Amino acid sequence: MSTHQKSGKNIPIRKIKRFTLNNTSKPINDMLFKKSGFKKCIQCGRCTASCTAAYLYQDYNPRELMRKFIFDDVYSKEINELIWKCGQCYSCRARCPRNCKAGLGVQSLQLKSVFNGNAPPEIINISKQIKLNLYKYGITFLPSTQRIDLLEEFGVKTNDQSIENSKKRESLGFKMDMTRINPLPEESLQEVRQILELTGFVED
Amino acid sequence: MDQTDDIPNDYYLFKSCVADSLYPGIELSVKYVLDQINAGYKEDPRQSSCAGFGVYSGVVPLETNLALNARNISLASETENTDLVCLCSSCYSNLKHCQKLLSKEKNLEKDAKVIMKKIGMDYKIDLDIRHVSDVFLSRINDLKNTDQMYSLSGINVVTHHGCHYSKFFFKDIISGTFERPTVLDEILKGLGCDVVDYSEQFLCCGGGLHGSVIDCEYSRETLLRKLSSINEVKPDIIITQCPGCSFNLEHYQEHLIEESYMDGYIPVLYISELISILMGADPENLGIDMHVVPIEPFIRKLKVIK
Ligand code: SF4
Ligand code: SF4
Repeated sequence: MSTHQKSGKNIPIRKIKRFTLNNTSKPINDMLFKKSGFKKCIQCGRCTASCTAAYLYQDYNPRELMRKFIFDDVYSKEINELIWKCGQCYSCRARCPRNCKAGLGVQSLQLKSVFNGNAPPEIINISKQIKLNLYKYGITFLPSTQRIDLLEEFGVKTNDQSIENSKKRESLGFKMDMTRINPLPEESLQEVRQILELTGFVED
Repeated sequence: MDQTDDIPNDYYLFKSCVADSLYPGIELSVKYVLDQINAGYKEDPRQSSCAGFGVYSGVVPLETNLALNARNISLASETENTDLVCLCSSCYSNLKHCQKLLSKEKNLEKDAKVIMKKIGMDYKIDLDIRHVSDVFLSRINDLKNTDQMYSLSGINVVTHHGCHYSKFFFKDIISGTFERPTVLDEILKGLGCDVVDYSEQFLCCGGGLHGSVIDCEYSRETLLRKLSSINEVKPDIIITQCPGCSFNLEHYQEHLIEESYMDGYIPVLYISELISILMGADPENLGIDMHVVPIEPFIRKLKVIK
């Protein structure tokens, strides 16, 4: 074991495991995960210093997540919870000196978490809603996709200000709960539905 | 870096589901402004959502995202338009990312081509993807040359560029850098107003997926930082380039005012909403009156030119 001289004493230093994914038992082959660039990460911590979520949550730290990616340590319950704290702002990506994208690695783990049914109920719920919206209309976000109970979160005055908006929508030619004035033509909807079916993004 | 010279004059206007659902005035005012400067644009009802809202919420699988947008970008490439123009910064980032992955990763491209063949469509994805604020900046002289009803002189503005515009494809920002994008600033300066800096310019609008999916803590705490920093410089208005950013920046003001982090409401407008007002559009006709922070006090501050 190597040692380090400090104040005349020999302090042992643990051998650092090399940053390589060779010989790991469960490599992740997902493209988004690879595109996070974790193999290039030098653990400088710029991402964490720039991260909106890390400022807010003590336990959220993209540098540490990248370290875990390097060691293929991404299967814990802890990670499954942490990934939902990322706001997908990509400040980590903009400031990384190694062109890494921690947020993409997080997105890939989020997708796995949803796929395995391990995501928080709100996320599973929004996933169902988006599947349905895309299948029915070819649209991701409808006026009703914005959660109503959030309006309470915004305050009474804010809520009151938006009360007339459904009527205003209609006076502009939009339907109250339809995103576009002109819907997708039937043929286009069939194409979108086929894509959703072929790629498995449909409600069971 | 000035990259504004090579943006042409006819655009495939890509519809944003978040804009049309939350602020129909964004699309209506974009079209109003393009009409005023005689820019050609095409609307295509065949286009689906880009699914970006679901992608950044971690629920839309990569294969689905790539196939939907291989279809969308191919539809745009079918037309005579050479540029696909986005109104939402998440459409911009997601479409560009799909295009990049499909062009760089042969396996992904192969799968997308198989799907496109199955649905009976040609695959062609090589047109340019831009944000409408890029278009406005490239046409700033045309914007200046239109008859204007109001002047922006004496008005102080702060800008917020969407993270999904400036932080992922930061090399493609047409003015400024990812630390300090200046696309909106340059448009506004061109139109004669003063743009003010604030300390949390880089910070996200508080959207994330938390804002609408899991809980509001991320939005609330981030906007406390963002809006109290904006409050320090006392702008008359906040200008955005993304419907989601507009939504967050105005919906969280009420509590911040109650808790004395802000001195009062600051209206929030998407860039084309402001430009169309200057050009004399009636806000009600274009749906610009649907903001939860009322915009009348701001309009009263504008000096009438004619
Ligand atoms: S900024 Fe980049 S290189 Fe530095 S720790 Fe973060 S991901 Fe790694
Ligand atoms: S994308 Fe996620 S990890 Fe990256 S800076 Fe934003 S919140 Fe942090």
